[in-house]
Amino acid sequence: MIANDIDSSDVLERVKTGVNAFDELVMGGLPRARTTVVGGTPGSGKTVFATQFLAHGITMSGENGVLVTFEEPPRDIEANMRGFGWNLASWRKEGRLAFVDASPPPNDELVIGDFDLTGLLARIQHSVRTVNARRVVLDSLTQLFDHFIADPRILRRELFHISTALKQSGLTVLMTAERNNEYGEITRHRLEEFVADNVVILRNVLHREKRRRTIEVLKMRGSHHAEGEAPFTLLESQGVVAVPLSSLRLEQQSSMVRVTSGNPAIDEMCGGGFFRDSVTLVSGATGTGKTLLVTNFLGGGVAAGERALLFGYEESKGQLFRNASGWGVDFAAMEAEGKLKVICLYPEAQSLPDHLLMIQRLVDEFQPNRIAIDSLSALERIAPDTGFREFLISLTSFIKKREIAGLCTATSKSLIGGESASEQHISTLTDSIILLRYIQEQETMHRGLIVLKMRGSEHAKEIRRFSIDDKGMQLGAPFREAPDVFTGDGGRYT
Amino acid sequence: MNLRKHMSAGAWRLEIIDVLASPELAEKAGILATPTLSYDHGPRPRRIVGDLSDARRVLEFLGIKPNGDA
Repeated sequence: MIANDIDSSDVLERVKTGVNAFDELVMGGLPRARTTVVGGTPGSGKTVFATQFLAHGITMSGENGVLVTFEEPPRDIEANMRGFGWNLASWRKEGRLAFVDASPPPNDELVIGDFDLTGLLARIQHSVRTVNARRVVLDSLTQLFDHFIADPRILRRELFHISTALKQSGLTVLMTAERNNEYGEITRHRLEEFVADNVVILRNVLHREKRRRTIEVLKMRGSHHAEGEAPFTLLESQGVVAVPLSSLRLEQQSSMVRVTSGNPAIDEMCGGGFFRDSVTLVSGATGTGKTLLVTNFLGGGVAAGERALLFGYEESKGQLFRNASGWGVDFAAMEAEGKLKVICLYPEAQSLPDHLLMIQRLVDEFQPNRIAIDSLSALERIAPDTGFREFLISLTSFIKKREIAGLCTATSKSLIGGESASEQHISTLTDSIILLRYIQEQETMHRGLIVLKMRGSEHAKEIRRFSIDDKGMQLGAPFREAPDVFTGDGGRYT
Repeated sequence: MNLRKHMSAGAWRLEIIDVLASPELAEKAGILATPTLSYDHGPRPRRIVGDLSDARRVLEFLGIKPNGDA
């Protein structure tokens, strides 16, 4: 008896949705033979999410599906979903997918008194038998309610009955429902209360003139789930792609392998170079030499036989190549050799989650040993506060997981020092920090470099003077009387 | 059947379909609720869902004059 109790309550078999980061949020997938309600405002991606759940079953898990559509006729859905790379029509012809077309009929209809939805249930069960389905989607319940507007109580009773009958057949059921507001009542008609074992919310919020899509698991009966909103995006040929965030565990292995920063003097200051799977932040005011450090970092890597990837968000490819050759680094030759890849685009070209997914995709494609991002400040411009922090967490943990060396730059607002808000965000998430500062000495302005932090390693503590010439960065002697490089008063030297 | 009494014999054919026995017919006809009375006559088919016991109201909605006048 005890064993039985454990079996039934503890181990829920999971059904993968095909949205990897979402499956991670819910401990591996949706529980089998349960009903999940996916709520969202119009345009929040409910149908795409639901279709992806079926598509993944059909293409990856050998689980056929039934799609019950209350709004659009099957032909329209087949056309709309083709853009995500799902060929519903061919699956239908192969007998792996069946539609139940419950879109509104064109005829006049009168509803009097009590009725039941045996007709609908019989049709769903018939289709399930026909294709031997394991997954069922009902999209969306709100249209069904609008159809039988007279008495919502009857519909609740009937939906409960349908949900129970489908679950008893071992089917994993996903129902979508509309919401009126992004925050507030969970679904119109309060469907989730009587029909759902699990509730998932999709949001599409306008924040500072930007659309931000998120997915949140509100309730999972009998199991754990990660809390909070995770950003996602809708991608051509892929559908819903959620961005893994807080669910990420700090499980990256820390290696002690050192790689060159591209500048022997800085390697020495860092105790022998950067760690291979670490992220270094270079922070400094405009013109202090951040892009030069990036250039050295990439050039040094390629010279050591590595592959390097650069994302530029401030300058064009032409400018970056010209700068590099001015410092004695030949980007064009490195690119021709296939050792370097440079991507330049405006931060505004896409949303932050899209940027992240693009970086991840290119890392997967190009398989670099090191990656540079110039600059984070440019990316921060387009992001809401919380979104940027999430982006950074995802980015830094992704880089470490792949065991590649990362270098990011951030522009401080003040010319002579001080920390900007963004730097505070960034600095806690990076392993090493290098500060570049203008430092005034007598009547002359110098540039100074300091290794502020180096996780897991000794590093030089002094502020080193440096100059820039046609061979790049030349480090000189330390400043004898160190100015305060943090407060912004630091430039004053008396 | 109550409705039959109100409609002139021979002019109408009433077919009863059990959706549990013939779900494919329900699929073809697009039936969701039971009972549904589907009236496939004229350019605009009409349907009544639910309580069909009020024959007068049913016939009125379908546009049929009761008791052989149709």
